Amino acid sequence: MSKIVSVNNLDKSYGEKQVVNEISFDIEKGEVLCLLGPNGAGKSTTINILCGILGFDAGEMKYNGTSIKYCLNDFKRHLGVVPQDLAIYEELSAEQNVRFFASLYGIKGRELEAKVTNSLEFVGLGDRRKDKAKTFSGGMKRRLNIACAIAHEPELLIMDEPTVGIDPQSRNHILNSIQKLSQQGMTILYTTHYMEEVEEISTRILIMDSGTIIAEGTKDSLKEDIFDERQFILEIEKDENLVLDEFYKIEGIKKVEKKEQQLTITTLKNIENLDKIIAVVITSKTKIINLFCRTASLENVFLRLTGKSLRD
Amino acid sequence: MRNLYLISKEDLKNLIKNPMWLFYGTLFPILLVVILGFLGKDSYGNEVTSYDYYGITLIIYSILMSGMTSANAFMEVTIRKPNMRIIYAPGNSNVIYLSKILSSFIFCFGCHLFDMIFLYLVFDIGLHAVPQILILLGLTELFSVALGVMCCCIFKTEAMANQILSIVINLLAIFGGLLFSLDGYGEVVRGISYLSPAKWLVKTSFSMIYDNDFSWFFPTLIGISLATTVVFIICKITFRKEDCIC
Repeated sequence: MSKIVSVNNLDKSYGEKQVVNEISFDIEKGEVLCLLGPNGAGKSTTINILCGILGFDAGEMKYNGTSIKYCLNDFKRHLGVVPQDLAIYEELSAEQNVRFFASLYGIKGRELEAKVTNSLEFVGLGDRRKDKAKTFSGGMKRRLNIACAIAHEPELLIMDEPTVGIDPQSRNHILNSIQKLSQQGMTILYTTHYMEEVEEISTRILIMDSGTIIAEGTKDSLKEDIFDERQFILEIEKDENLVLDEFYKIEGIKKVEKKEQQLTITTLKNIENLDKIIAVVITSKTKIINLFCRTASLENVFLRLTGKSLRD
Repeated sequence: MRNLYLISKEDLKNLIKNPMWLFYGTLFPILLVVILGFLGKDSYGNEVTSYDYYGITLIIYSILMSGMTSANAFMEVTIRKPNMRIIYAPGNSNVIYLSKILSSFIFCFGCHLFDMIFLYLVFDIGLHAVPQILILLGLTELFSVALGVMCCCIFKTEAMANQILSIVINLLAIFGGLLFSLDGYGEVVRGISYLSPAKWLVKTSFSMIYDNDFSWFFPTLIGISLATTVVFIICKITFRKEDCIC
């Protein structure tokens, strides 16, 4: 994959407070890059710098290999932004909104009308195109916010928490739309507080905290890299003869817990010892009803890296 | 330039669709003239009636208050958010405030022209030296709307900008004799009133309309032009794109 945007050693301070601290990352063509971080991590500042709204103190940003300061208008022409706030005119209809914002990109005439229709159809507002935005539900306004950002068919779409405060139906629609856009080749930079959204749509993740990027990778590689443990959960019956200390004789076992009929065994990930665990259980004539393996979630990864929950 | 035209057009539509601003721009000045003209009719003569006096001074007052319309068009909460998307679009970001100045100017000047025509037709308010009056008031209108935008650029919120504008313009209006003539309050008060630019506008207008005296026209015009230029420069210096982030 080729890089669309490269960010190198970006710095931004407000007075004494450093909000972005020498961050570097690339956005690869066609990927859905999720930017995760707690409130105040510097995500929105990074996005606003990328969009050209905020200046920066040091560092460099490149678009297709050229410094953005030399090709800002070209970059903006290929950039779509879905801000967290609804950046639409409430008094205008859906199509008037999309038409106006798309026309700022130099699109006109039949091409403009076709793009207005396509983007409204894409977000599922084709049948409400004549209605004023103020009559829409929160979810519909969010979808209109997206339509305004994609009408000019940008190469890179930046979405800042586009699903905040909306109903599950609209959220699903938006997430499906993002996947479709990605399949069509659009590159997406996405920030969210919802870990399940990241699990669903991301091809790569950046985790930010206190203005720095503390981890980067795919969701699987992050889980692999951060956690060296896995858990086996066994649902058991007739466990009168089961002695928990027997498990500690097996290589790699770190912790064994029994709660009612559930046995939780934490073991080092890189040691194959499931057969030995099962052997201990069977030897004690305990019956295994169910067995499953639990790996780390992104929430765990985040908690381990930052020491705080994402929604803190 | 195309984006300036597109954004100004949209802003103008927003202003025209707003019943409050339409009322404030058209009916409110007429109501003020009618009420104050009626209340003060015994204090004025037949040559310059109270309607003549207030027909001119209150239109100037309304023009000076146009800054509140442009401040609203620039940073009212429902406008401020779409402004953010305009910043994302390619082109010069100065079009944001320039479009607000342009659209507010067209809207306010249109409203005040309607008022002037209405007052002329209904109350037979004396109107001579029409081209000079239109140039003078047009330039004042441009100064006022630019002043409103400048206050937004400096104070970052519409509420703060409007509070300050309201206080400053009302003080200038009172000292300039826009709401009632200060000529009868002695030499000192009359002297103070000349410190207000509003007084210069009134004096220039009355001189041109009733005395056919144009000696004040160019100095006043140059003064307003310089003030407008300064306001535009301050807008350019103080406008920051990040102020559009909600």
